[in-house]
Amino acid sequence: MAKLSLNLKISIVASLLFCLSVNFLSGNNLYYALLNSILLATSIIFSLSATKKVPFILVLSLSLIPLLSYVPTSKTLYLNIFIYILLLSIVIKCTKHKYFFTILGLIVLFLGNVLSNNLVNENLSTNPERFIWNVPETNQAITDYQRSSFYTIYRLRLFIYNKGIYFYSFLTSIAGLFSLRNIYDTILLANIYPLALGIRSAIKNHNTFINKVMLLGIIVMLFGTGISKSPDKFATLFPAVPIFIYLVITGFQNINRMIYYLLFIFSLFLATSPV
Amino acid sequence: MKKRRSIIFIIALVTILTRFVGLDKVPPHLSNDEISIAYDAYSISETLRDEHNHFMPISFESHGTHKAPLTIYLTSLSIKLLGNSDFSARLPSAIFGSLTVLVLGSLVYLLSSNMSLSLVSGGVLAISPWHIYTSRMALETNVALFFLASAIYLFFLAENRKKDILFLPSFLAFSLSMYAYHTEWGLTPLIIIVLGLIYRKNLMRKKAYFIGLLIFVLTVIPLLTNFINNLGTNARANTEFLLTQDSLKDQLSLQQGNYTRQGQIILSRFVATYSSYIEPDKIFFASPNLLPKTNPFQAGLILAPFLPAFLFGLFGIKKHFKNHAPFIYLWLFICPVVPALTVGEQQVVRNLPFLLPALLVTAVGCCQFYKKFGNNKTAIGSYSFLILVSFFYFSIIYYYHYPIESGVNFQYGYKQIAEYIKPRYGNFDKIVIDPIFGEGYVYTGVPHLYIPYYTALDPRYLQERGKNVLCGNCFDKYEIRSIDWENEPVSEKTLYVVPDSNKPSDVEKNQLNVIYEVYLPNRKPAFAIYEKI
Repeated sequence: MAKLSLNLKISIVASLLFCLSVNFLSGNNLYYALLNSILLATSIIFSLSATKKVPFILVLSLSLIPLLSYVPTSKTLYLNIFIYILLLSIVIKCTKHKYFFTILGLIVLFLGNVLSNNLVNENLSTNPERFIWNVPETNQAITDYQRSSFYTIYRLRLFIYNKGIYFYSFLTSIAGLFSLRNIYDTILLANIYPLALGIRSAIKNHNTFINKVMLLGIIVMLFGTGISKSPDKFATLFPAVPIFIYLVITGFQNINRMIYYLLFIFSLFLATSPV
Repeated sequence: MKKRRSIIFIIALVTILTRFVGLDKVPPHLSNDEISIAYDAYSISETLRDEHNHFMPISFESHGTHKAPLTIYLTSLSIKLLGNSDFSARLPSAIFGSLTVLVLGSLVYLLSSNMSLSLVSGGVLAISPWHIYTSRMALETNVALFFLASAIYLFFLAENRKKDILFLPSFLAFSLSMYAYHTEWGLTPLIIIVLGLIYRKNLMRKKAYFIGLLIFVLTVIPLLTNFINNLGTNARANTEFLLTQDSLKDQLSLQQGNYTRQGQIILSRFVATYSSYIEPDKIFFASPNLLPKTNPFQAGLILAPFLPAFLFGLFGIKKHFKNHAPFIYLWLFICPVVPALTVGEQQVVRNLPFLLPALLVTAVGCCQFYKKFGNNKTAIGSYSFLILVSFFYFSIIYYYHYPIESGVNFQYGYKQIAEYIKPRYGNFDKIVIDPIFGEGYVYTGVPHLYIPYYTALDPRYLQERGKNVLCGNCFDKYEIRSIDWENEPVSEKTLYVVPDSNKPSDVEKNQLNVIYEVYLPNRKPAFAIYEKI
């Protein structure tokens, strides 16, 4: 904090206050409002490793992210995310044991994801019925098609219709998460624009270690989504808040401000709709 | 040059094979919408009047709403030439669908001067499940897509190659696209506005552009007049518009007088519907129109391996299309606008125009991949293999499983009933057909269109059925009404056609003899035909 400029300090305090207000307006209690606000502030501080510019409009926009007014089913999840942010910060600051901390961070992120989606309980027991594999309808369809696809011989049918179809369901589940509606419901319509540019920039500059870490984080998040039978958009994306904020902040450096302002006004108009 | 010709030949072959082979068998039966088009086309081809006795209408009354006219008039030609069959009803759509592949390839070459990109675009469209699906059905949207694509192609030919005279056929094609399907009522004017704004500097100096515009306005006036005359009726624009949705009306009524709140509600609904039309899981993995949702063997509207190409392509448009990039982005953005203004769940036919810019972006992504990994034969081979596997799975789902499992959705059985009746028509005085069908006796079919179409009954019978006051849907020997066996006086020389879910009880069975049974493609019983013992 000591190295932060006055403007950045003001931005971070403003983000805390905005986020608190939004949480109170959403009906969250002080406990969750504080945790969500601290999550935003720490994510912004972590993102400052990539850029020193966090304009006021972006602070305002990030505070309004619906994900930051979300109340997760498990309080442990906050601890999980804060550990993840800490590990990410260590990865950036340290030159030694980078890979160890990265892998540890990814494990923590994955745990957060499966915990959030109720695939795993707090006592680390699993809920098999929530996983994408072993769905009775899928198994039945495989057997039916193996039996009834008379256009080819039985041996080939066993090869064509097999449990590999679960991988297709896994990909479908991931793609389902990335509908425009799911994204603007969770991170606000205006932020889709800098997020897309942030991801693009991370892919383009994937040789930078932190970008690699971010992309791996996204892959882990996608994997967690894919293995869940019915992933909830908030529960799935919540553990990845630090990644989203980092990518939005980095992507913001390349945006057309006029388009962003228009999108922001449009987002406010939509977000305050009575339905 | 030889390699290029071979690729063009392969694309043409795939296009023709996927769209024409087994056209009368996949889908398994003419659907509700298809028979409506086919019957009106047949009626027009014989009498120049539609089912409801209107002379050469601009909008065809159908199933409580209205249909656009162009496809019906085009189909009347194929039916006149080839007779009443599934093949003749679907032929115009298959032809225009195949030609769209050629038009898209030519358009991409015109805009990018890149032959590889042009071939990839054509190839991707040729194997697009969305386009194969719509090309193999007698659907208006597919014909409209051809005219829209042709109009855009001719526009750029006129604008880029300085062949001003081509603005005239371009605007005529724009106009025809509006006569072909209702989505284009909104989309075509939007595209014309976007083109006019982007290329205004060049266009302002061209007289032919303004003449073309005038031709467009003049030719769509009859459509506009017809729309205004039908305001307040059940015309399609009045029944399918977003604001006619009951749930939305209820929400708006709660905010009466507060226009800002009402605006927010409408906008939220519009954005949500817009989003539903571009959901990646539905577009690339599991389209809502083939197998039931619980079945894991699904196919997207675009093959799944093209998703990464689409995402990468979004960032490569500027590089490949240079000055035309703004048009491509806007084309992609505005296509789902009109479907998003309509009610109901996502309808793949309404959003078909989105396919062209989406595939164009996908083709750009494929070319970017090739440029990046061209030297890595393993990467290119693996990606091509994935595309082939994906197309193989789509083919077995669409050409084999879909016809077997979707019989009920297509009202399967009415064609088979007609084929049974036709040679025995003289043996009966009356034919009673129960229009309810399916398990649970819940769906209402349209046998009053299927039977006359497949038996080639003189259309005048149906045109004059309104004159029969006692029986609303009776014509010639036919009575289309639900059968209540307990109160049905069973008569001699009468044929009773009922669904399997309305078979007579044991008491009535003593008087009746089942003379023919129709089974669905999945071998479940569909209909039975009875006569008095």
